[in-house]
Amino acid sequence: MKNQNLQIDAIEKESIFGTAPVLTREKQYSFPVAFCFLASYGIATWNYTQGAYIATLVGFQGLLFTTIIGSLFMMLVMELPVILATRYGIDFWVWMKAVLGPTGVKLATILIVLLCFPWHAVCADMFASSMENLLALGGIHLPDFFHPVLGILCVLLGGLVAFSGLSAINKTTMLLTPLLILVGIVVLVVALLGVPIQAIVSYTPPAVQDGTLDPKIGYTLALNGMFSFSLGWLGGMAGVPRLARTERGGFWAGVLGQGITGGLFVTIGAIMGISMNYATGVMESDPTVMLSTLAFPALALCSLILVGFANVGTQATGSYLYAVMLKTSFRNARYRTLVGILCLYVCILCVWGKLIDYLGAFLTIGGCLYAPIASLLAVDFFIIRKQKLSLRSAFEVENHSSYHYTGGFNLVGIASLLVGVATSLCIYDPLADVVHIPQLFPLTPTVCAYISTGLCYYLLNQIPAVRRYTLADQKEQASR
Amino acid sequence: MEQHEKALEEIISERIREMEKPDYIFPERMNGKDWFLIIAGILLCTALLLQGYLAA
Repeated sequence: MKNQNLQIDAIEKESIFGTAPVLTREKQYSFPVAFCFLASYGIATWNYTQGAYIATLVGFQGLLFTTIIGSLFMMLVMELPVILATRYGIDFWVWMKAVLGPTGVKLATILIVLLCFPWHAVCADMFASSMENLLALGGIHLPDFFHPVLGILCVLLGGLVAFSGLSAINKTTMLLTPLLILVGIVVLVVALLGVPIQAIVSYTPPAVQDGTLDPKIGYTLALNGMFSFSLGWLGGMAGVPRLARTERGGFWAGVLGQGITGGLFVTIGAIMGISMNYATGVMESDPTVMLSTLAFPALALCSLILVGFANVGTQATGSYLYAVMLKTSFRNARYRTLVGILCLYVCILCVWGKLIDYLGAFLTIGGCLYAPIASLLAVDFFIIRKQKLSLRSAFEVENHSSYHYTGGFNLVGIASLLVGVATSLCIYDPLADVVHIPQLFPLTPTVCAYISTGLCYYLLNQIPAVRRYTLADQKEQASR
Repeated sequence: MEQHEKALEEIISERIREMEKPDYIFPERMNGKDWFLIIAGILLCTALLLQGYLAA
């Protein structure tokens, strides 16, 4: 009996941690719970970093358009295929095996981790800053080498929560969401009270003021940055909806939890940056620095503790979502091993310490890859495969290999993905910061990459031989 | 490890078989109201973003 219980427990864990499909009766999340889970991740402290970046490109009005509306637009488009995760109880990466092939998905998930997960090092960095500022309020000044040590401490604490599994993460999330909202309110109030409102409303970025940045290019760069930021949720976007009880709950939890609240908190980050720019002449992206500069000591003390806790929670949620994503590709790997690897990666970035300097490049290069993946998924799910998948081939069950394609790669999907990446880079070079095709630039490189990838994949699949290659699973479905 | 892999494959196959049963109830689908809100939301956001670009 005891053995049987252990087996059932193991099965449940396997399904929760991403390997097996979750059945309808096992689904745990109603809309409010899924919303809280995703909102806690969507309003993490990295929003302040993003907000400060956007504030270097657009004025206050442009800020409201690009952050809130931009984020909502991208989430409405990007989250559409998430209904497959709820319907079949699978991560969307399982579906992506049909689009890119199993080996293609392995490579894509590794790339997504390399490009997306560094955001967690930003959180660890903020945790370190909050602890340093807390101690500084008490008159203790730590030497510089303690900064990465504190960052690593945050990663380890978050990793420990993630190690404990979904129930510990759920509890942390339910505590974390109100904390993060409180941090946002405090940051907003301090930013608004610290400087005259008129200084924020009439703010124009210094680069626009001195004529080095065209306002329309600034607006497009800000919008593209916001699209890339929203698409950054892509890797783990199905982790929660697959456990949602209804398609509606899973979809709207993502759109509202990450899109609206995420956009709002980026706006708060931008207002904070503008406020600090007015008060100190520096566009500050770290809320802990602002709180210790502009807030009175008691408020600063409480806020810094909140920021510290919030970042640990974000590490935990992120580690869980990304470990689940990796587990769909590397299903024999243990969940805890994957969490350990993710933590190690963030620890290395903490020790390196120069991530913030390269964050813009991470963001834009990531955007080149996320948009084509999101587009491929949408076109394949809605148009090519018409919402039907061979689950046996997707899970690589013995004697079912429709999605093995050519050496584990779907050449049609890979070619379309490369077309999307090339389109984005042809329009705008993020590393050299050069616009190559000004006529298409207002559409943003991210949207152009999304459209070109989807169009290429769709058109290629209109060729009968290519269609037979992509839809190899139809024979399998017909034979049942 | 091989035993774990086999057990896991059996669990997955069993679940897929259950999902293929005619009486299996999938989670409630999105309805027309949801799709209307999605399309209206995308169109409204596009219009607002365009307005923001023109005003920049």
